This record gives sequence, structure tokens and C-alpha cells, in this order.
Amino acid sequence: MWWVIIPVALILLGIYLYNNLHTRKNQIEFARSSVDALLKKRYDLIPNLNRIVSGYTQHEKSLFENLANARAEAMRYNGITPTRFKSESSIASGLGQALLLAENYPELKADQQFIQFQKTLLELEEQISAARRFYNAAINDYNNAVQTFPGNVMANLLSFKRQRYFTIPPIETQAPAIKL
Amino acid sequence: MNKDIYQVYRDELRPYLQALEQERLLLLQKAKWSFAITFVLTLIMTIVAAFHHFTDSYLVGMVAVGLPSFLASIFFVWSEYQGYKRAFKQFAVPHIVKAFGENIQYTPTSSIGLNEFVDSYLFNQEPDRFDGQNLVMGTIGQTRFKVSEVHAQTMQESKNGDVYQTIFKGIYFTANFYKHFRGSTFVLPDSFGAKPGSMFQPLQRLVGHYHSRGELLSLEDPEFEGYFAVYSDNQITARYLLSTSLMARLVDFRKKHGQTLYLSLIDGHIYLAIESQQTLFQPPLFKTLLDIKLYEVYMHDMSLMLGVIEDLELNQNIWDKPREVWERV
Repeated sequence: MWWVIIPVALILLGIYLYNNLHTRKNQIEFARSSVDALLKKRYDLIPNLNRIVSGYTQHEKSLFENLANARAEAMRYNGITPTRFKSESSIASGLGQALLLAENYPELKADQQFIQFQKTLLELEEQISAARRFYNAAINDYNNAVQTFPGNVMANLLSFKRQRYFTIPPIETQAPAIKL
Repeated sequence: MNKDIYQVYRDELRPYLQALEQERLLLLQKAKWSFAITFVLTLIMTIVAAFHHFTDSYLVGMVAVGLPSFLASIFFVWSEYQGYKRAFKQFAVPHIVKAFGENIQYTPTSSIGLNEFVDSYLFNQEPDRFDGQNLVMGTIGQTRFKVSEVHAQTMQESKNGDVYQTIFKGIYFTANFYKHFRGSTFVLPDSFGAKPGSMFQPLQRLVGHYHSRGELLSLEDPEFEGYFAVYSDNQITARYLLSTSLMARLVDFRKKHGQTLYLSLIDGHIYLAIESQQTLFQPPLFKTLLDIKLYEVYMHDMSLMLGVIEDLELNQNIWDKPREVWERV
């Protein structure tokens, strides 16, 4: 009897581990595409920011050039890679500095389009943060499955490797106090 | 809170309380007289029965006069107390409630509606019997809310007839949420207490997959995960709503009140149920109404009902919400 039960149990365990690893890998792909979609939304905001701000600020050319370069650089990458982390960090920091410009330009601070832009950006940042947390949770689940026994045996057979977490610093500025 | 309770007590409550205190003393006097009459009548009946050579004269006195008049006294005192309680809730409690904001109304006999209870999808069973009291509703900042005591029960058939079982008893809160979202996310008491990485998590996850409220999420805060299990139909929306700061605030709220919490976030609304056996805003009968310490207890009742807005920082409307979203509340 045991000579039947043990092979069947091993086969079932193998199927479970195989499916589990693939489910977790798919979860990462899904999370990655969600992060990607939101980051693309953020890229789309940059030309708008340029348009709104250009009328008020004449001496901030380098800031917007750097932002445009970081955007162009980040848009070249597909997937979430360490080099992309760097470009995303530059975008986050550039957008943070752009928001702080309002402190030096009172007319810009009062501009309705700029206020709307701030709100959109802050909401988008919250969504990006949520998507990033989802991505990292998916990575965590996957890494646990790949590195713990008996999942690591199947992961080695399938050449599934540990994956990196996604970390971008949040916009480096304080959220402006908007009273509605 | 807009006003200090001592200020409210001194400037607004005192004239009403003095009148109510007279009513309380009168009620106590009526109660004393009614029980004294019961005692005297029972005694007379016992003596009369003894004169007529009844063997158990005291039993005759008790059954023929004592018990009926005792029950009548209880009923009389109870109905008088209801009138006194109504007056207290009508004249005194609204002033306590107003201390929390001018745009807040208090209705002692109303509660959250059955549809608002069902809309939260917090409890699997639909109530067969639903009642409540002490409805407080209004607006604080841009948060439009309703909160009341609620008792929801379901009917179950048994050998001895139909029996009502409690689904939920406690404080039920609903408000518009400060973030735009579609879909539903549930924060429920964690029966496994499974922190991330614990041996129970695979089991919890397995149960979660078959859970009617969506997929089980594992979040980053181990303390939060110890108290709550989160289910959602969208992993990103759930994390968008349950920011790390909101998770920390929920843990603090849970610790502060020590009560079991159920929370759902559905299509722009937050629903929160706090289990409690306590009945709020009960006026004392055997203690004076003029004791300021009593109002500290009522303020605690109110802070349990409205503290959720402050504690969870629901009033941070940094995003404009279209009016029609919160008109539903």
C-alpha cells in the first residue's frame, strides 16, 4: 500500500510546489505591471508641470531639464530594474523640488492649475506607494517560497532566483498644507 | 472637541440638571413610598390571615398581596424611570453632544438604518431583528458621519422554539472616507493572530482564498497583522486605503479601547463596528445628577463614538470629493 501512497503524495507535492511558484511569479508580474502603469501616469504629469510652471519661473531651467532627462531615461526601461530605480529616484526628487518652487513664487502658489497639479501628484504618489507595497509583498511571498524547504528544491530545478525589492524614495518634500 | 466639559456643565447643563435632579429625587421618593406601601399591605394581609387561623399566614400575605403589589411597584418605578431617562436624553445629552461640534445632532430613539448595517458586509448573516438607539450624526470638518448603538440579531430554530442570537452588539459608525476609491476592503478581527511569517499564515491564506470578502492580504506591520486580517478585492486599493499610518492608528485605537473592531471600506465609505455591551447615556437613579464626574463618563461615551474620526484622522480631506459621494451617508 505504502509503495502507492508515497509516490502519489510526492507527485501531488511536486504539483503543488510547481503551481505555487508559478502563481507567485505571476503575482509579481501583475504587481510589476500595476507599478509600471502608475509610474507612466507620473511621467505624463511632467510635461503638464513644465507647462504650468514655465509662465512663472524663468530661472529654474536646469531643474526641468534634469526632470525631462530622468523621465526620458526611465521610459526606456521595461520592467523594474536597479537602473530604473535610479531614474525613478531622480524623478521623485525633481518633482519634490518642483513642488517646493511654490515657496519662492507666490503667484505660482495661488495658481489653480498648480494647486490641482499638487493634489493629483500627491494622490498619485499614494497610489504608487500602495502599488510598490503590493509589489514588495509579492516579492516577499515569492522569495519565501523560493528560499524555504521544500519550495527551494523545486525552485532550483526550475532555476527560479530570489528577486530584489523595489525601493524608491518618496517625494522628498513635505506635503503642502492644502485647505479645502 | 470644541468645548470643555466643565464649561458646558457650568454654562449650559446646570439649569436643566437642577430640574432633572428634582425629578430624580421625586422618583426616588415615589419608589420608596410604593415599596413601603407594598410592605405595609403585605404585613396587614399576613396579620389578617393569622387572625383567620391560616397555617401559613405569611405565605398567604406574600402571594395574595405582596407579590402582585411588588411587581406593580417595579413596573411603576420602571415606567417613571423611563420618563426621567427620556427627559435626560432630550434636555441634557444634546448639550454634551454639541460640545463636540455645532453641526452634530443627537436623536435618542433613532439608530443607524438596517440598510447601512447590511451595506457594510461586515457580518455574514442578515439580521432578523435589528434595533438601536442614541444616534449621533453630523459633520466634523468635511467628514459626514452617523454613529449609534446597534443590536443585530438573527433567528435560529431550535427544539424549544425560535431563539435570537446576537450577530453584533455595540457601536456602529459610518462616514465618507477621505480617499477616492472603488471596491471593498475588510479589516476583521484576526482569529489566527497570524503575524507575517507565522506558521498559521499558510492556513489563514488557504481559508482566505475561499473567503467571500476577497483575497487575504499580508501587510507589513506585524502588530497590525496580529490583531487584524485584511481581505480585499483589489490588493493595490487596499494598500492605498490602509496606509502604514492608518494601520498604526487602527492598532492604537484597538489598544486604547480594548474592544473587538470590524472595519470595511466600500466605494468611498468607511464602516466601523466596535463591540460593546455598554449602554450609553444612562442617567443615574441612586446618585446625584449634579456630580461633574458623571459627565466625564458621558464624555468618554462620546469619545468612543466620535473619537474614531480623530483617532483614525478621517477628517484629513486633502482630496476634494464630489458632493454626491458623501450625500449617500
